[in-house]
Amino acid sequence: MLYGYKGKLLHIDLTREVSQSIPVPEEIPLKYIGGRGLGAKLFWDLMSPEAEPLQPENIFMVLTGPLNGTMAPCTGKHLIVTKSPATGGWLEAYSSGLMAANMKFAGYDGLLITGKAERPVYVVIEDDKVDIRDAGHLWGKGTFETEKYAKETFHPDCGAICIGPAGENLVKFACVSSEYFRKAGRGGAGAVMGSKNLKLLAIRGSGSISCADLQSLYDLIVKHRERYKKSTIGSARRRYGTPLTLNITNEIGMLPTHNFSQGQFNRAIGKIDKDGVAAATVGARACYACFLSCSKRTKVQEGVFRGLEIDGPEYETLAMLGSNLEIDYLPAIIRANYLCDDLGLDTISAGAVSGFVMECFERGILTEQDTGGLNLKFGNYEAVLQLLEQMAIKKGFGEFCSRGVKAMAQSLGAGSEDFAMQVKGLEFPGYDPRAAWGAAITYAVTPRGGCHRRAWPASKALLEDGSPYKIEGKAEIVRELMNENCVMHSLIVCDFPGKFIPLSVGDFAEYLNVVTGLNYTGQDLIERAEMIETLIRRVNIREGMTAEDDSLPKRILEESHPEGPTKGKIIGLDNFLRMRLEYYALRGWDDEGVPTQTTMDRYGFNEELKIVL
Amino acid sequence: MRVLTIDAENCTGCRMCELACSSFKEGEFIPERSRIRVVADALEGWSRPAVCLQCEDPMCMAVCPVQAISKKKTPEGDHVVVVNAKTCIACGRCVVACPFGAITLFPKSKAIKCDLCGGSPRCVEFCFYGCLHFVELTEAEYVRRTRKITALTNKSAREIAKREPFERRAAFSLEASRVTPGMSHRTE
Repeated sequence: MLYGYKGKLLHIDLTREVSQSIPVPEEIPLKYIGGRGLGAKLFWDLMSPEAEPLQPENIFMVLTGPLNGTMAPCTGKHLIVTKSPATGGWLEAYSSGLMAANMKFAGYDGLLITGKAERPVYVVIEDDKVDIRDAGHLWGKGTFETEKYAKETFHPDCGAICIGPAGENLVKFACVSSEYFRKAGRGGAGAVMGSKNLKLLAIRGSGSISCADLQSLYDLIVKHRERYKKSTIGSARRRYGTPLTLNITNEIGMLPTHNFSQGQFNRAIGKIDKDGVAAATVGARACYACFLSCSKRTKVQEGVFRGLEIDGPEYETLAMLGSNLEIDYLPAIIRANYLCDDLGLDTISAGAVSGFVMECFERGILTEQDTGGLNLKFGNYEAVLQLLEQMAIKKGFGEFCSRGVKAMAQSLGAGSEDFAMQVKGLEFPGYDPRAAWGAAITYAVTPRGGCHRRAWPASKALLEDGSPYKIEGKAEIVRELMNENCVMHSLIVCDFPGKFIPLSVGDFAEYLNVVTGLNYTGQDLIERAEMIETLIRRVNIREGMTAEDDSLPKRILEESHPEGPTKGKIIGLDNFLRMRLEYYALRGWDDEGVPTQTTMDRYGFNEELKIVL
Repeated sequence: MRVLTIDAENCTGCRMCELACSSFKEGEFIPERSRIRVVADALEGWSRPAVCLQCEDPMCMAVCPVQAISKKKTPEGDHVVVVNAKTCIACGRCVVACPFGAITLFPKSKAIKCDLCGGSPRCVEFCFYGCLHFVELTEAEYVRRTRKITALTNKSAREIAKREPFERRAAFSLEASRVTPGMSHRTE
């Protein structure tokens, strides 16, 4: 038996209210590592292409990797894999907390939730005991109160995931909450939980995880901790957390402003940037087994939101609910962050949706009659705060917004598709690809849609290799970065240690080896990542996606920013298509993005063992 | 003499101490068996570790019916309260006695508590946020610390005395009533 893994999954059928344990033969982790890789394998084997995202046939998976529950740094993450209500295809979303560790301590590498309960329920798992209970008293409650209920009535150290009203109401960008302020935000996984009538899942494990070579693991941690202490980028990150990113993206014209029509928001500086947030910071929080502590606790000191306290806001929230809406009042962003967290909305998509309707409002495509009297002028945070509450409960104009940017643009027409900032139905995060053209490829080809997490747009490689405005070599960089992230997301390690300690894929391989007893090199892991990405491509193709879906809004391809370093820099459709073609070819996919027979044969997908429920 | 100290405001809730302790003591990651435990409220944004204070006058030691708990010195001369697993009969009286919840009875096992890893506590080694320290105290400082622990023990005992009897009565009154049952006929 490989150390680090538990070798079994727990399947809970909410329709029949039964559960069973499913063994995972060793050849699967050997080939797919865990986390993202395991998710790809399970999605391919178990998910029916006919299953609608919000129907009982969809499978909601919570997965771990071999490093979760050990002392390997930054491994407090769990992974949710399901079919996305936003895109109709592959969705994986990460969050942190005590979920992954408790799953492992309870004896599971993953949880598979199928079916639909006939009434609102919550699930409590204590080692091998699974209890499905009535959640009538929790339905309608915010995520804070819901998770608190689990901590108070079940176990203070349990891992828990839950949804707020947005998930219950099947909002397309409802998130899944954990440890109160941590969110598996993107792609509407919260709506999938809601569609299954599953309000909360809490798990507590009393078991253990063995490790092949404990002393070597200790030594690695101490070594990398020393490296981190010497890292300048690391100490800046530790001091400021993700808000530091805003100063960088603003400088280079990457900060979404005015629904991505501009790349700089100079009013942000000193107010909602690293210094603005640092002034409001009252403490630092770390995820499980992490020595980076990038999460900052802030408190509003004055004004109408005085006393409000959250973990955050993170960069994405500052960008999407701040600069993108031309809001430079930090307390309002903290309030918006709090509302999204408690209501169970993804702050990124909620910000993108708000930016989109604000631009429609400015252009007269939407009027106060449409918005139910909301004056959606850029900068009007009071209107945004009202709109967020309406979105979550689908009230008034919020019902329209809850469908997401893509569906809204389709229904509004009038050229609004051109500035509907989304790919595949997933709204853009807080980076404008026009400041680093490689990011354009990332957004287009990332399987879950418009997303920055697979190849960080602000990474050195994308910004500095040659020029950020050249297309040469960008497809290769994106592929490399995506492979590295795929390795981390399969192990499962957070994105940050790679950048800020920093750790290489070779370092991650060492962690895997000392924990499991395997003898993998970094290259072994990269090869697996390459294969996993192709399997996920097959998943999306099976769900009906084509190269057409790997495209970008016209604003990104044909418009330039009016000012700043990106002024006059236009990517252009031809350049974009060339990068995309290059990317497909590097992956061993044909011109339409379909894996070639040679590629398929190389990965041996057809010869492998199939998992069945 | 060195003691384990806690700067609670530096704790970030990473729980590395639980992982370090359990893996060093049990050979595997099992926070449930960690001698140091993190108490936290992530919503309110605080956390802190809780661990044995190595009392000079340990209540756990006083109640042990088989004298399995004793005061010892580490090789470097640090004061430590230890459980002799060979003698321990897992009766649980020490768990009831400790005012700070620092001693635990593992299922099918013995009473377990922090023994300072014999003088080089692993939790301190892997606390990366400056929350846990193992520091040398002057004699005066140590005396002050002991006085504070005594005061805290008394405070805690009073608090427990206020709350606990109700629960204990509720839980065990039935069995207590049967200690000498069926005596009605004697008083009739």
